[in-house]
Amino acid sequence: MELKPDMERAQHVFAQWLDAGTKIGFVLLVISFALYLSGLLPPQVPLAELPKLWGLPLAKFVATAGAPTGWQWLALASCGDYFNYFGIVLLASIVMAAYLRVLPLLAQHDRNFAIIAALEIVVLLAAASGLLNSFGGGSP
Amino acid sequence: MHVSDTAAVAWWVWPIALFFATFALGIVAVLSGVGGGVLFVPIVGSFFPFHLDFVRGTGLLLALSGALSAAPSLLSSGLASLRLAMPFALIGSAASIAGALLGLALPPALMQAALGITILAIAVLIWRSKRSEYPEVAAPDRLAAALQLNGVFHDPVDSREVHWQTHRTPAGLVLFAGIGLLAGMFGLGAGWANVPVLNLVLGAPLKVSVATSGVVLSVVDTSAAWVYLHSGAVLPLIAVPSIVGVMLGAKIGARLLRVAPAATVRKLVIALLLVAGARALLKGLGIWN
Repeated sequence: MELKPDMERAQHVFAQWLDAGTKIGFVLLVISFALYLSGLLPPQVPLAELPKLWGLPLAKFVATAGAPTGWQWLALASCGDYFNYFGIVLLASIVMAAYLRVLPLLAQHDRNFAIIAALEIVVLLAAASGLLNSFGGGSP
Repeated sequence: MHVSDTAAVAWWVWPIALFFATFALGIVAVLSGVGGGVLFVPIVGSFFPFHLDFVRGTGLLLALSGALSAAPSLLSSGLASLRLAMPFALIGSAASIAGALLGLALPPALMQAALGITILAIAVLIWRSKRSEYPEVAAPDRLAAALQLNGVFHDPVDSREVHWQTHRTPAGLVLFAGIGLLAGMFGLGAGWANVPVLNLVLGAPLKVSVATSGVVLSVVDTSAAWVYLHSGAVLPLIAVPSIVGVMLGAKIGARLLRVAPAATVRKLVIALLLVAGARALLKGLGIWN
């Protein structure tokens, strides 16, 4: 596709960041899951207990299992189950990182798209902060 | 199967079953072009013992992973357009947060029934929807002109340069808000809706629409995935085997793409969606638990 030079560069950089982040995220996910299943990192909720819990509605599960909400999982990151969150959180952060990376490129040449990218970063940051969860179900 | 029955089954049976089921879904998703999330949520939500909240959280991560895997090559090759994706991804991602919050707040039975109706509607949409290789766009609307939502891509099949532009941007924004809301609420990937809107409403060429849909999806699903993650609705024992299963299945599916009978696979997907949608609806109504 023939692109305007500014957008062509931004699109290329955006793709590179998605690619790198996704690959790192998958490797992290596979390693952390192996540590979890092998028992090398003992989980917060024992594996054998999960079938009694995963059929519960979310609020009941959180209360019964003592599951963390928001960023509380960081305090349990040494547990096998929540160690997996590093890979998951990385996958959920890649798009935001890519937008942050291309924002200066867009700001130089394309004001409209720089504003759109900035607004997208605000939306993603709001979601990632966990603050919006207080407006709905599963509040941290 | 009741929760107490499933609890009697050894824990490791479920992630293994999930891996094989999602592996098959990954193959079918690629061959049919509908995406993994829209198949995963109704099928796993209906036939596995996990609560729908965890299935929806995993469904979003699964759709996100697939989109993230495909997007870099589509963007690098120039088939996907970041310029076209960004405005619609912005509105869709904001709406998907609202959808996720709404989905987690509504009663489970209502969500099951609504999911069933939505999946049945998606099955009909896939069955009935037409696609246009190169839609006619006489002139862009004012917003599309201001944002320069246009481009040129090289079609290797016809060996020609295709100039494209879009129109009906305001309608597209409204539709992407609705798609984002549904994606967040039900944990569905949104390729089934992104492509028709980009192609038939906005007038982007089909190949550009399919490729750009993945980029939009990666942004929209990211926003909603955070809501589920912060709510505690992501269980690694469910999420990781599903993501790995779908990813591996998708790779096999991509290899089978040349030889698989596309029409038959499409019919299979519609049948799967009809069964899973009916099951979710009946489960939500308390008729088939």
